[in-house]
Amino acid sequence: MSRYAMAIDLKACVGCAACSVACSVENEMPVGTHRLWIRNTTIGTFPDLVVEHRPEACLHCENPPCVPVCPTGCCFVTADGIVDLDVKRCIGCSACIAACPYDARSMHPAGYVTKCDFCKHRVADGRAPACVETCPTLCRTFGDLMDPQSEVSIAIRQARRVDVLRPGLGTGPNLYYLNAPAKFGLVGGEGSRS
Amino acid sequence: MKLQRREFIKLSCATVGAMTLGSGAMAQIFPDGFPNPFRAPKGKWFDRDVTTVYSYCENCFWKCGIKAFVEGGKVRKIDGYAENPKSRGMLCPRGQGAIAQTYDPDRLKRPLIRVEGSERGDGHYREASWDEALDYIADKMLAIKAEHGSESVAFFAHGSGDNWFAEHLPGAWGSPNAAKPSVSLCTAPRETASQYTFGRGIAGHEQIDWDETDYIVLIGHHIGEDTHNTQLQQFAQALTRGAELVVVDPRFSTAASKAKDWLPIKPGTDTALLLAWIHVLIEEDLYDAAYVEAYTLGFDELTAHVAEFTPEWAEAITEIPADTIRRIAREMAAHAPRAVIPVNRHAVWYGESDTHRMRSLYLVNVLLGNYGVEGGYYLCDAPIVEKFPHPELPLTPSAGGCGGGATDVVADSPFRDSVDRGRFFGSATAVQEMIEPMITGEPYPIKGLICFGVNLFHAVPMVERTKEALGHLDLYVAIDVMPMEHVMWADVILPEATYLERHDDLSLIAHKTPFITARFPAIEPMYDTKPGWWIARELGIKLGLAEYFPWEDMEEYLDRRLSSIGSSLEAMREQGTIVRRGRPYLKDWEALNRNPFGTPSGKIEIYSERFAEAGLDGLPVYLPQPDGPAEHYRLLYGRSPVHTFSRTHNNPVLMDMHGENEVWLNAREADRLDLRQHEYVWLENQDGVREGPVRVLVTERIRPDCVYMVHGFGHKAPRMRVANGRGASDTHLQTHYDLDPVSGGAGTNNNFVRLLKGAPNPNHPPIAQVANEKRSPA
Amino acid sequence: MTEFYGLPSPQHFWHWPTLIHFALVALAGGAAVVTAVAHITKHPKVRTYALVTMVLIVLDLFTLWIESPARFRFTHVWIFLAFTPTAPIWLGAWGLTISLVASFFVWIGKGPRLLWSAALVVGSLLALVYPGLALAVNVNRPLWTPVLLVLFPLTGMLTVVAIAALFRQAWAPRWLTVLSLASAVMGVVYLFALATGAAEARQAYAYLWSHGGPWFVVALVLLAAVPALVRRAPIAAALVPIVGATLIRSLIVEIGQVQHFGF
Repeated sequence: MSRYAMAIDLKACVGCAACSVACSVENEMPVGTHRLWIRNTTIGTFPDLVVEHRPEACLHCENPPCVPVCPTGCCFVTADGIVDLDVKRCIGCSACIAACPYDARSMHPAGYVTKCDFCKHRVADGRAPACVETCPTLCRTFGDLMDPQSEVSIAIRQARRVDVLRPGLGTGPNLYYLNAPAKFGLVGGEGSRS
Repeated sequence: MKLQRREFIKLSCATVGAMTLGSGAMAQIFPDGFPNPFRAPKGKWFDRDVTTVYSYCENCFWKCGIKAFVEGGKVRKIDGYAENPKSRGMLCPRGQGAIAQTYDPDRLKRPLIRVEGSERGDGHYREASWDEALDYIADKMLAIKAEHGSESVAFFAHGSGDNWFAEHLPGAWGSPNAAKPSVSLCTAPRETASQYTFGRGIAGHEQIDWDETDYIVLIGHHIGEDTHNTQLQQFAQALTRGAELVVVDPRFSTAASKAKDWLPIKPGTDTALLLAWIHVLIEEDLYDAAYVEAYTLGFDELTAHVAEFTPEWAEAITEIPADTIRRIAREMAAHAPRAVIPVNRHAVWYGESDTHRMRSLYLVNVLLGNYGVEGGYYLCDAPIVEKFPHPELPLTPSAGGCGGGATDVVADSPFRDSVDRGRFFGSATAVQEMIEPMITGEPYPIKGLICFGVNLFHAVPMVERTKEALGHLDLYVAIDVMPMEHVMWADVILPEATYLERHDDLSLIAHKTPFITARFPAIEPMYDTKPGWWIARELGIKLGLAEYFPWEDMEEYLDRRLSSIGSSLEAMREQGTIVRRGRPYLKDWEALNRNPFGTPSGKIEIYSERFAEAGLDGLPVYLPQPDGPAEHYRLLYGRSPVHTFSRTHNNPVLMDMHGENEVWLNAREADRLDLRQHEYVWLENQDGVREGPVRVLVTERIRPDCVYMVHGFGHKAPRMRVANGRGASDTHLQTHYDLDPVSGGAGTNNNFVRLLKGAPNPNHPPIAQVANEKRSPA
Repeated sequence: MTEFYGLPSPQHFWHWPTLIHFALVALAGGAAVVTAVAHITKHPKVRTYALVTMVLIVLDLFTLWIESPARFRFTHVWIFLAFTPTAPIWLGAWGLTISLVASFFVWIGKGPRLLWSAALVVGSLLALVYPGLALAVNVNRPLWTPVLLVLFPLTGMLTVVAIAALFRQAWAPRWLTVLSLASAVMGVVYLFALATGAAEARQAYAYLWSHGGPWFVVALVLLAAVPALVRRAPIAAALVPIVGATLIRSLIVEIGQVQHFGF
């Protein structure tokens, strides 16, 4: 049993969208449907500026709000902590889309919900998810948090700063953002509101 | 058995359904096919049988080694592979999204000949066989040769096949008028400056020793928005390793967002900054005296030359505080030689000033003692693989290339010099200088043009002049993958197979570890398309040049070339890349008692005698650039991480990421002009040429005296149904360029635009909608 | 300034057919409650109420089927094969189904009376409550507050009572007044709770106000006007709360899909 997690080092990320395109092609997403997208935000005034390039996708929460609201049992969490879904059971009711605080789920035009599954088919083969493998800034690490020697554990340990999205919701995200460029952490995060 | 049974059930359901309803009604009621209540959404490609084919990417020209995954006769995914020194197992968004081009229904599908009596640009074509199309071209070429000489056919080429169309075929045919836009519209100043300073070119892969450097100063270098794969990897690794970064740019670029210092320099004044840095390094005795002593010539002249270029002098010009200029110079020196100002790729900005800028940039690096030293510039040469034996070509065109030097025309050649000869000092042909002779016939007429993969209306400035020139030609052939606007002006259109469908020549890469990589077709060419090498050879044969194409096919050609290095086609098919050992540092050369500097003096020529002899400046000078007319902003341009030039804008996967460009405008200027975020405007340049509508991006990320847009949008090509009409073209606003009398580069940053309110919102449908429309083959 | 490469999933996931469902399920759930009460109190018109309940439930299920993107994949059966009591939609599906079955047997007058009473009570309450619950569980969407757990059942009952009043059921006008006023009060409470809540709630309140706030006020005024109309204009008194209640429910479902204030 593992606890899979991903970390993205925002010091390195340039928001180029290689991850997003790789994800779409790997998982045969139709044009216009995304499991993974980039949010590029500028704050400050000329010439004192901060630009945050932030890839976002399913955070594979410890307490995923999307799973309990699923009426058919299509949404579930695997033993390895992947928040997954069995599209054969999906009736497209969108309850999970409504419950997700991160917009990480979307309706596939074929009529079922789709989302990041950490490329479980690749992980099963011992490979990294498509986004991690292709990232030309090497800003992504993936692995097992239970293993202190995994790449992701090391990356999180060594980071100057570690943030997750909307920690106040208690969802327990397993997507960690390292070394956020702004002094207060993630743009739009709780730290930036005060 | 199980499968058969399922098929049987499906079949019987369908039969019953069809009997009751008729297939037309079925399709109406069940657009996704007859519903099967037990059917799960179909399995994914990776759950089925997948084969792997080695190739290198063509969605930009960085040439990353890739593996194409093929399943069910279709390419499903592309990844890098670790053994390739360029991809190192990773790919940028363009490489990842390239498959969509191969399966683009808007592709050119079969040879087309312009309908007799129609005008160029009307777009009336009839389908033709390859035989007819090539006969047509050969007849016209031979007629031009008979009347005007073989030199009157020009060849423009860009892409992996450009060796066939800018070198081999024109060489066999006998025309020196062969040019690549990657030279005079891109790298020419940096190449000429490097050749005349170091006696070496800059390799296509800018040879910065990122892995070892501790301090990086980028000048107008858009790493991150420019996603050249290896460079981006090493840049990002340097940042995470803790290397310090300074970015000099009028715009807060992606790279600037990673920098400890952003110097928002006044556009066009970079040389003043560089000269001031040279001044500080010398005046404060911060330069590497031992390095200068050992490897350079002309330091004393430089010392005298920069005496007056103080930081205070530069502050008045660049608007960067003198203190900052001094501080950065000292920091560079403190980290030297592991401090570097990398050379960027697109170096044609202001014409004559460009070679000066590149020379002064190199000289700062030389004073830091980093050229050929860890953490600076490494030295590299392309691996050598013998040519397929063939009779010597009658002529060697000097088209140059991204990273290649150009050869001088032989003095006793039976052919006339290229039409641009004498307009500038450098030896590589300048594509934009071949347009005028098409119109004027001076120094001699160009009557034919073979255009391979060069977007004449999105790469070459002065678009209206280009259109006029095309009207003067007796023959204009376009070889391309997509029905770009300029393609639909040609007399004959030849559809090329995409890179996933063809072999190409070996790619020989100058790199820290030089390497050889090969391209194998992942699938057969779709439609009636052909590889570039095939087109060049068949045309050559029809022109009576068969002796220069003594191979039957690319497999034979590649196998023969590979055998010269003890490899073979089969070995390469399993291997993809052969990596050689490099000699990256001066010490590696010295250990072999060899001198890497190819200058006449065998030294780094700080002062260039050869420039001085030709009446040029022996040392770099700052040349002021004109300000635009009132209420105009200098038009700067750059790249999107998901697009390459104007090549990728019909690719729905990439357009879905970035589907139209914006014109970046400083927020206070937007306030003054009463422009709101994402409002559509017209752009009108200093000559009254209008372009758009284009969205305004109101931003803090740019100086108030310039605007910026991503190059490559604004296609005016109705047959490219995803690209057409989205965004605006910077090239169409470049009605002026400054020719660099040294390198032949065409600087296009001295164009200025106004933003005019009141442009209509074009209400573009979402890319997904266009992509999912049933686009029937055109 | 925020720019995206590849947009995240659209914030709108429920569209106008879903609004119709929210209107119909209000009627269906309310009718089931009426049938349950009528059955327990042995009201003479209980068979008619049962039939109306069945028709409304079937109509609502048909709407759900039509709007479902999985219309032709018969995967909806998983609702009944899975046990997911934490999912409001699962509860609602069982509530509607139990109500439908029980109403059917009440209509044909067969079977054990006690069982149908119990089934109708449980089923109707589930059917009435689950729409508000399905919204309120989404704590990430600040416009879908716990107040909806009361507001939605109230407006649901209100619409079905208004229909009853339209068909001159003697018991209806009294309840019409009570439910209209209660709904209007809860509507005000809903707005007040938002306006005085935490930062995100206040931002959501501002968003609601700028994206249809005036319509919300119109709906509240309509509901508040009902007691005055009940005696003077009984037809209007029945129609007005249907419009008001449906308007409030639609506005909350439609506008409330937004999230990420301050992002």
